[in-house]
Formats: sequence, C-alpha cells, structure tokens
Amino acid sequence: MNILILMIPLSLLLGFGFLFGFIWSVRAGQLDDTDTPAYRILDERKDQQ
Amino acid sequence: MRLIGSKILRYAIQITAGRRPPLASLSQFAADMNANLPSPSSLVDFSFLDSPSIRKKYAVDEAETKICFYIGGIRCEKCVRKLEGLVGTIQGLRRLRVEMGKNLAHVEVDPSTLSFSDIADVIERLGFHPIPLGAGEYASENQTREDRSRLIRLAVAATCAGNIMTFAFATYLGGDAQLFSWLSFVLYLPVVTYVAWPFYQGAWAALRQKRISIDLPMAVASLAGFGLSVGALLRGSFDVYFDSLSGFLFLILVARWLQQRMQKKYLDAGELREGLRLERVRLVQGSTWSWVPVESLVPQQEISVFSNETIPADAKLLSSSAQVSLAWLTGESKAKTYLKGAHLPAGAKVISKQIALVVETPLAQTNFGSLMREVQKFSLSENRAIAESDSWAQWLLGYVFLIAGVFVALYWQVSPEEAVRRAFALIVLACPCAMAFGTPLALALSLKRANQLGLMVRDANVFEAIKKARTVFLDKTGTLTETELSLVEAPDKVPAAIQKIVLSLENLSVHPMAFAFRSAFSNQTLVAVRDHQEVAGIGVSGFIENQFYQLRASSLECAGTSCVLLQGSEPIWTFNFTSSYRVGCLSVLTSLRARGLRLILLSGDSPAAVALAAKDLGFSDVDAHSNLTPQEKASVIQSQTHTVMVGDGINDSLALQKADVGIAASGGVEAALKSAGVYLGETGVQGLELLFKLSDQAYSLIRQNLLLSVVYNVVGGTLALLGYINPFVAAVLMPISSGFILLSTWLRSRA
Repeated sequence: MNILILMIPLSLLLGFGFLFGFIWSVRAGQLDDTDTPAYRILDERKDQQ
Repeated sequence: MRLIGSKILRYAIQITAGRRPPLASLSQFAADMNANLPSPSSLVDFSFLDSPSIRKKYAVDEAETKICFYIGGIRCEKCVRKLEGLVGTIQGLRRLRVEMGKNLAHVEVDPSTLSFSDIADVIERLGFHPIPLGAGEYASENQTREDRSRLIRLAVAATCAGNIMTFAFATYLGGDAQLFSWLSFVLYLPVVTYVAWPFYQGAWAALRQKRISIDLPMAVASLAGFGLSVGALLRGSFDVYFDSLSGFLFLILVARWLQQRMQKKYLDAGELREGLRLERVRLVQGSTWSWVPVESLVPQQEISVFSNETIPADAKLLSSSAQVSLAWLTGESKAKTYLKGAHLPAGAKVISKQIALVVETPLAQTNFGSLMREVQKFSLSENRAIAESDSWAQWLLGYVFLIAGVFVALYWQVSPEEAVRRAFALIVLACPCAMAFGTPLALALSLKRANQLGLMVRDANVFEAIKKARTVFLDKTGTLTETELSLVEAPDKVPAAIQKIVLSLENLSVHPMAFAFRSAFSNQTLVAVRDHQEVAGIGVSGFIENQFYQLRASSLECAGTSCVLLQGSEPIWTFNFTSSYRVGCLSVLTSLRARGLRLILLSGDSPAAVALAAKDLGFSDVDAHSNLTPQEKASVIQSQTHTVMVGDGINDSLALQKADVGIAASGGVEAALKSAGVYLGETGVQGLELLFKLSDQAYSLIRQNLLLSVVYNVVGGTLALLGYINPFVAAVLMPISSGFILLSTWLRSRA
C-alpha cells in the first residue's frame, strides 16, 4: 500500500510531464506544418536557418 | 527595358558583393536578354507588387517585409530544396519557408535590397507560379491559434482520461476506492472545466438561437455526470463516472478533431484562388506609361492594354480598331472587332495588338466588377456540410430529450433517483454520431477520393445536390466542345501551294483561325508576302509572287465558321472550321440520360451552331437553347429545381452559382472554384460520370450509417429506460458506437 505514495505522484508526474512537453511543442509551432519537415531534413546544406 | 535594367543592376551588385547568383536564374537571365522583353503570356510581370497600395494589401506585417505566396505544384523534396535554397543566394532574402501541405511559401525580405516583385520574379524563374495572397486568403494567425488550442485540449483530455482510467482500474482490482475516487475527482476538474468548455459554448450558443445542438448532450453528460458523481462522493459512496465521462469526452474530441482535420485537408479554401484578379494597368501619361493599381483608375484616364490582357474598366477605344474576345462575359469564343470610338466592356480580353483606351467607368461600377464581387462573396460563404448534418442530428436529440423528460415525469412516483439515472443513461447513450460524425466523414472521404481522381470538389454538399439532381444544364463552347477552332478538311486534301499561301498570309495573325491553320499545316514552309495587311474582323491580304491574295471571313452565316481564299477577286478555296467535341463527351451524355436525368444545352452561340451540336449530341430541339446571355442562362436554371450546371468557370460563373451544383469544365481552377462547386480539370467531361458515381457511393455509406445508428439508438435507448444499462455502461457504449461508425465509414470508403 505504501508504494502507492510513491507510484501515484510518479505516474502523475510522468503523465503531466509529457503533457507539458506536448503543449510546449504545439506552442512552438512544431505541429503547424507536418508535411514539409520530412522533406527538409533531406537537404544536406548546413547553412539553413 | 526598365525591368531588365534593374535586373542587370541587381546582378551586378550581387557579383561585386562577391555573391554567386543562382545558376538557374543566371541562365534564365541570359535567355531574357536574348528575348528582349518577356512576352506577357510566358512570364508574369510582378512589378505591380511594388506599388504602395498593393504592397500594403499583400504584406503580412506592418513593416511590409513579409509576404505569403500560393505556389502550386510543390510536391517533392526537390521543390522544397529549390525554393528554400534561395535563402543565402539571393541578397536581401531573409527567410523563405515552404509549407508543402498548403502549397504556401512564407517569404521575408529586407525591403531596402529586395522587393516583393524581385522575389516573385525569382520564384517564377525557377518554374513555379507564385500568386501573392492577401490577408484572409491563407490560414491566419487566429486560425493557427485555434488549431493549436484544439490540440492542447485534446492532449489535456488524453492525459486526464488516461490517468483517471488507471485509477478506476485500480479500484476494480481492489484498490482503495476512496483514495482513487477522490484522485479521479481532482483529475476530472480540468476536464469538466477546460476540456468540455467548447461543448458548453456550442450548446449555449445554439440554445440562445432556440436550437438543440450536438454539443448539448455532451454538455449535459459532462455536467450531470459530474453532479451525480460528486453527490455520490459526498454521501460516501464511490459510484462515480469520472472515468467513463472523461473517456467519453476525449473520444468525442478525437472524433471531431479527425473529422475537422480531414475536412480541412480536402475542403481547404486555400486552393481557391481567384483567376480574375485584375491588379495593375498601364496608365499612359504623355509618351510614357506606368503601372498603377486598377482601383486607382478614374474616368478620362488613358490606359494601354496589351494582347492577351483583360480590359480593366468600361472604356472607349482610341486605337483605330481592336479585336477582343468577350468569352468571359458572353461565352462567345469568336473574337469581335471594334472600331475607334467604340465602347469596350470591362472583362473583355484583347486579342489583337496593344490598344489604347480612355476609361469611362471604373471597374467597381461595371457589370464585370459586380459579377466578380458576387462570385467572390459567394465563395466566401461558409462550408455548409457540417451545419447540414447538424440539423439532421437535431431531431434525434430533440426526441431524446423529450423522451427523457417524459420518462422522468412518469417514473418520478416510482423512484426519483432511478428516474434521473435512467434518463441520464439515455441521454449519454443516444448517439447522433451517424449524422454528426459519420456523415461529414463519409463526405470528406468522398472528397478525398474525388481529388485523387482529379476532380476538384469544393464542398461536400455537392454530393447531396448531385444525388437530388433532376436536370443537367450544359454549356456548349469549352464544355462539350474545345475552345480552339480546327479545320474540318483533312490538311492533306489541301494542295501544298495553297497551304503555303494561307500560312504565309496568316503568319502574324492571332485570330483563332490562324492558330487552326498553323496547327493543321504545321510542316509547310513560308513564302514572302508583300504589302501584308490584316484588317480585323475582315481578314488578311497581301501579294505573293506578284499575285494578290486575300483570305477573308465568309459572309455566309453557317453552322461552323468558314473563310475563303481569293486570288485577285476569284475565290479559289473555302476553309471550314469547327470546334471539335471533347473526348468522351457523347458517352458521358448517354450515361447521364440513362440515369433518368434531363439534359439541356445552354449556349451563347448562334442558333445554327447550337442546332448542329444538338443534333450530334442527341439533344431535342426544346432542350437546346441558343443566343443566351449569362443572365438568361441563370434565369433558365432558376426556373427549375434540383439543377446541375456544367459550364465554363469564367463566363458561366453566374449560371454556375445559381444552379444547385455548378460544375466548371474549363476556365482555370482558380476562377472555376470561385463560382462552381466542382472543377472537372484534367478529367474533362468524363469527370461528370465519376462525380455521379461518387455521390452514389457516399450516400449508400451515409444510409448504412443512419441505419446502424437508428438500430443502436432504439435498442440501446429502450434498454436504458428499462434500467438494464446504467449511465456508466452508456458512457462506454456511446464512444464505442461512434468509433464503430467512424471505422466502418473509413473502411468502406477506402474500398
């Protein structure tokens, strides 16, 4: 039973950690365009912005 | 030359600054030097983008450094690389970001070294066709923000629902019910407030308009479930619904998000670009001219319009004569000749050489201007597919709430608590998903399929209207027939000497017949013509080997079009022209007739030409109308119900709008989709048959969904009221049934 005191906060921390990571990525615009980056990565030139 | 001058300067600057100009544009530059001035049809001149008012209109930001272009045909990694690789090779280009799914390029320039027109030029030279987009023509910041907040809401719902469910699971396995119930309560708080907020908003907005929206059961379920569960918790019982409710809201949000995403992808208005955009005009001042924005024109100003350009105002002709095509206004494809002093309408396209005009009425007040406005207004009106299916769902919800109310009233005597519980179960269970999600999804998937087959369908309502169609109106020129003329006789039956004469006489002409001759006699050599003369509307003449020849339009009004070659004054050969029927035209008409549709031919052409086409294509005399103006076409269509109009995207735009379904067979996709729901594009007339088939498929799918939904709701609803299904089970069944319907729709429309 006592293990729950550790497990519950841990599971919540994990869940909400991912949630905030996701919210950050959405806010940063990473999910605005899901098509082009897949192609952009094929460009070998390093001087891209 | 001004243009080229500025380019030399720019390249010189780049070279002296030690920058390597991009190879592609250098060779293009050399080609330009040879070609002297770029011809208006082969290369677009973007200098208009630099006039202050236009700049302001298209600039994304206040400082006028950012602009967004629509660029069709970005399909591969190469295109992205080509475009984005411009950064660093072009001086003053700060940023160029391609958004492939939407065919957009976001550009930021340093205005002191690079203008909008410069970058548009460069993009054009790479082989793309940039169209500058004004505010509101692409996903605005508002919309981006909305998309993002939707995703975040979804993520919050997923996190909360996931954790609540693990807690619920722990309870089932014998965990501490009190602890986990209160934990679920805490985690449900963001769900009942933040996640469910759009449902409350939607339900409330609809209620204020005295409508029941699909959001209402969600809102009721979310709030009532919360109330019941909190009541239970406070009483010390752990009969809580937090897990099923949060799962329910999460699944509903997912279904909605998927549906919106799919709809956006295939219905996005971002592809609908106006082709009729008239931006700039050459204003003549003394011996020079300059580009000015069309809106700035006032009466009495002198303007100059070149071949292939559109007259941007009602104007009086100053040049001695002009040949113009009124195809955009009347659909008549033959060029018309006007003499000095004539009044030319806005929207006419110049066929002959450059002409000078005096503005009489600025564009905004002309017929053409109002036509453009009307077309524009129409296309901005919202996509109605969702509203439509929402209204289907309404009666179901209305009945559900009514039955629940009646049930509570009747069962109150037996047990008030049980009455509320069962009514609640019914409300949670009753699923208008077939209508609310299944229908839009079925339609969106049909749209996707249509797009794959090469049909551009603007909104999903088209399928419903097609299903209901009784009468199909067809335009002749450009729809059933090609717009270009072609020679009736086989070219090899014409003696080579005559071919030579005709071709030499017509060599400089831009009349449609000249193009027909050129394509028919393509392997002939030219001979010298002395005293060559072209009189617009009459014909061409000249001396070949001291013999006077004329080629003149035949005076006879006959079915096609013809011209006669005279040697001296003696006719030696008559040429007949026809515009050929489009490929597959007759078989499509036959299959449409087999569906029991009435087909009617509407044409602006002469009675003789229409009668000929009607005979070939099997229209009866009463169903073939000739000499119609666009307004008359529209009124013929309005006299019928359940109509489909198939016509040219530009000159039939009014008729296309007035019909229940407008189908544009030609005229460019941008213009077409402004006024029509469907653009046949590369599929040609044959696309019509496909369209009918697709709408059949979509509707059989929708019928299947409705049937499933009716069975589910009747059976489930009865069981709920009899007390066999408690709200907990109902809240599980409801998303499962939605998921089932979405899945079956998706699977079936893939097949």
